[in-house]
Amino acid sequence: MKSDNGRILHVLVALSLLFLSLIGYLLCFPLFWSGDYTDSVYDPRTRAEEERILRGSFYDRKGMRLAYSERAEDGTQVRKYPHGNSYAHVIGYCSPIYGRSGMELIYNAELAGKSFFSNPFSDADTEPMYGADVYTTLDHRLQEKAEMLLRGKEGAIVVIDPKSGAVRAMVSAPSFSPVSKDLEENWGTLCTDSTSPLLNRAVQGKYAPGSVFKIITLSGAIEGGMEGELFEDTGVYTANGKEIRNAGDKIYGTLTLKDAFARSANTVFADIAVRLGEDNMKKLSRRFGLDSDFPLEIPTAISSGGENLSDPASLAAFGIGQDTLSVTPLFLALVAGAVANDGVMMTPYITDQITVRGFSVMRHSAKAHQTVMKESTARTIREYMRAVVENGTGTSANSKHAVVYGKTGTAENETDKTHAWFVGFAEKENKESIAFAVLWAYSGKTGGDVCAPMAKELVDTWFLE
Amino acid sequence: MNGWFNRQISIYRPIFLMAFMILTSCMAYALTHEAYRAEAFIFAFGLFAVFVCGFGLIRLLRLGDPYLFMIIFALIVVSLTMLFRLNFSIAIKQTLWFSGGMVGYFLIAAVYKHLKNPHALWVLCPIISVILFAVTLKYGKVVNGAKNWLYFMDNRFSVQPSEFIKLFYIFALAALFASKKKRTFKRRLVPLLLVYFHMGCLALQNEFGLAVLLFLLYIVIAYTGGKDKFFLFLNVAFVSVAGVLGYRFISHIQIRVAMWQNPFSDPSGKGYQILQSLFALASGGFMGVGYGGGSPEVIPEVSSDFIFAAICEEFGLMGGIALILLYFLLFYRALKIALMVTTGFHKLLAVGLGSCIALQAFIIIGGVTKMIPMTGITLPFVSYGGSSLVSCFMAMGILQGISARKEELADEIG
Repeated sequence: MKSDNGRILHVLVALSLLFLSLIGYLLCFPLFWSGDYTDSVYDPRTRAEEERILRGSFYDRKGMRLAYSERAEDGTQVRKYPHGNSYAHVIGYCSPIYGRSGMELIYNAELAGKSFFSNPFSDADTEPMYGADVYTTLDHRLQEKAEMLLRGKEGAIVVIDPKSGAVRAMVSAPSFSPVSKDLEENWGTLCTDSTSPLLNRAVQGKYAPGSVFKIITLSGAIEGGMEGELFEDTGVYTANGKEIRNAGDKIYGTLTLKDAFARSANTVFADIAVRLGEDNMKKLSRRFGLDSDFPLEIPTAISSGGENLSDPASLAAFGIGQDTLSVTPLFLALVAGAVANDGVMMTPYITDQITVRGFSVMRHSAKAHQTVMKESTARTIREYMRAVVENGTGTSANSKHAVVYGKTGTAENETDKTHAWFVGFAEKENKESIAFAVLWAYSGKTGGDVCAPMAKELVDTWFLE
Repeated sequence: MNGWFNRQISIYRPIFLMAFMILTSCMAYALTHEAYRAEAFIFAFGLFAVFVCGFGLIRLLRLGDPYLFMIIFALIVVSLTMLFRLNFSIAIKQTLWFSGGMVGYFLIAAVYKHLKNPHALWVLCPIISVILFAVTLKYGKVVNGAKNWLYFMDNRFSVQPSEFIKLFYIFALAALFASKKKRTFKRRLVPLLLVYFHMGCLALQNEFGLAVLLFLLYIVIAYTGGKDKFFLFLNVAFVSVAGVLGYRFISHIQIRVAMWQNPFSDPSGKGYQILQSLFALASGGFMGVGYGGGSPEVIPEVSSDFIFAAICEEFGLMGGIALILLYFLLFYRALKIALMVTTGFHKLLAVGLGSCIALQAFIIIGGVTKMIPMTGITLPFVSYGGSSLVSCFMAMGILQGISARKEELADEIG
């Protein structure tokens, strides 16, 4: 029986090792793997936790409530969006089925009270618990106006404060209702609709900028010393066998740089781009933020273009905002903002502060993103952009209530319907200025005709209080 | 002479320990269920009285190892503490099963102690197994994909025959491998037929977890029996090949393995149960969220197969590891008994019964924590389920009986 006992000890050792490995595995679990299984959407605990804490609200810059949660009679939470579709993209939706989008997604932890600073010592059983509130830089009047202007169109409006980078309005059209009940009803169509209503065109839609891009080409021309020159326009500019003509096949004859900009003479700016050369144009556009990301709270698309500028035909088209250029409305609003802010492009932001029970726990401070041109260049461009509105292509943007500066754009694209743009800024003494980009995509109309009047309405709304 | 109490361990120490354990559990329950405060204390007192009686009975009837009963009782206290928190009505039912199991435990232990030549009973075992299998395959109901339940009295009463087949299987194998007779071809064939017959029937019922358990038990018993190592190796190789083939062709097994590799691949379908279990583990962490503080009721089958996840959520992985150590102690006592008895048959039987509890605990705990693929077997003494609890009590009753027979000397098997 001795050998029997020896083999029993073998069994003891073997199964002990099995048990030890099990204990070792369990000790490793919370150290290495439990992260995969916390805060999962499939875990009812996550849901119950979020249901227990009343989700925080969004406010505009004046304290107007933009989104909030309420307890229904059965104790469950209902997310309310009191301003209809106006904030569907920037604030987004918060659905138990489809998840979250926009700022609702970015600040989910804070709003749901999960982030470490939101509710440190409250007693879960006795007090109602609240998530953090997010105060945005948005201006409700402006946002609503922008939404109204774009209703029934496809396009986007971005308004920023050029001095700080604060986003004042951000609207994308077509829009949708972010209310959970409506989402459940319309989700199928929202996802398959050819106009992609869920897409936030203001920061994620990419469009050819057309003549608006001439602001950037112009800054290159000024810094390249072409300001005093006279340009001879024959109505057509040929580069590498490709012809570039003015809008409406106009022939302007002899032009100053300022006139060429105000009238948006394509031939002149194509010529300037070719004269500046591939390297300069590339550097210039990169400095303005092409091919790079803007650190906004919500995800943005990267504006891009100019992949094959070694071809003079491409370079010429690039100079007037065509070629492969495709940029977001936010990008152009920031370009206009840089002109208004003496050449310094500010970092855009939407969150002013986050508060917990009225105490501010995070406050945003304005940061410069990049100096994109000399101050003197910015001042000259400002003058030129004023000329566009005073007596150029954008006269319908003129407002009685502020001085408007701008640039129109009518961009050709893959369809036969052009994008209409108006990009610029407006100022008034003792009042915060605004910079804006207004896009009506696939409108088939010119920026001066349709977008400049929309910009005027925005300016009136902002300065007439 | 009964040698188990020779080392002068105080009988007050284990009684004090159990009193402490029962009181803590009872207070935890009373604090979280205010409406049942008085009842909880009465119940706890009753439980403690049962323990004292049982402990006294073992001394009085000279039933051998005193620790075995203590460890089992500790497992029962953990089980009832958790079940009363999860589902009051099934906890009451489990208490009834527990009472029945206890009676069976002492009866079997007392009878087994005096049984002459118990190994001769082994021929009955395959016969009973065949009958149980036949009845299950004919009249059984499919629950959770496995056809292993018999229902009586308008579905009010159900039995899982495979829980008992397990015991007969161990008994028969121990008798066959303890035999001292010369290993002829026929004598080699009989245990083999027994093993493959059981595994085949369990595979037909889709009970792959139990089939694996039975094969592991065959390995343990055949290895301890010590005959024909090469033959054993051949069988292991054969079953490994069969396992690989089974994986290739049986979708049920493929799903289990796929959900083990990545439960998020079907989070609201096939991976739902294991994910809920892992969420509970993650929510519990090292120290647990506290008794009554978690939400383990979202895990399907939480009171039976997945009770370990509920324990881990509320008592933390430390609580889970403590439970694993209890199983280890039980297994250790079984092997200690195997080392102390002198008959070859009883050595094998003790090793088989102890390994059965240990392996079963390992397979199900490993399954619910995603260490190994999930197979639906119960956690011995802790999972809710009458068949499982009673069969575990029977197994340990036999073990207790073996420990009481330790004085037997001769190799009666011949």
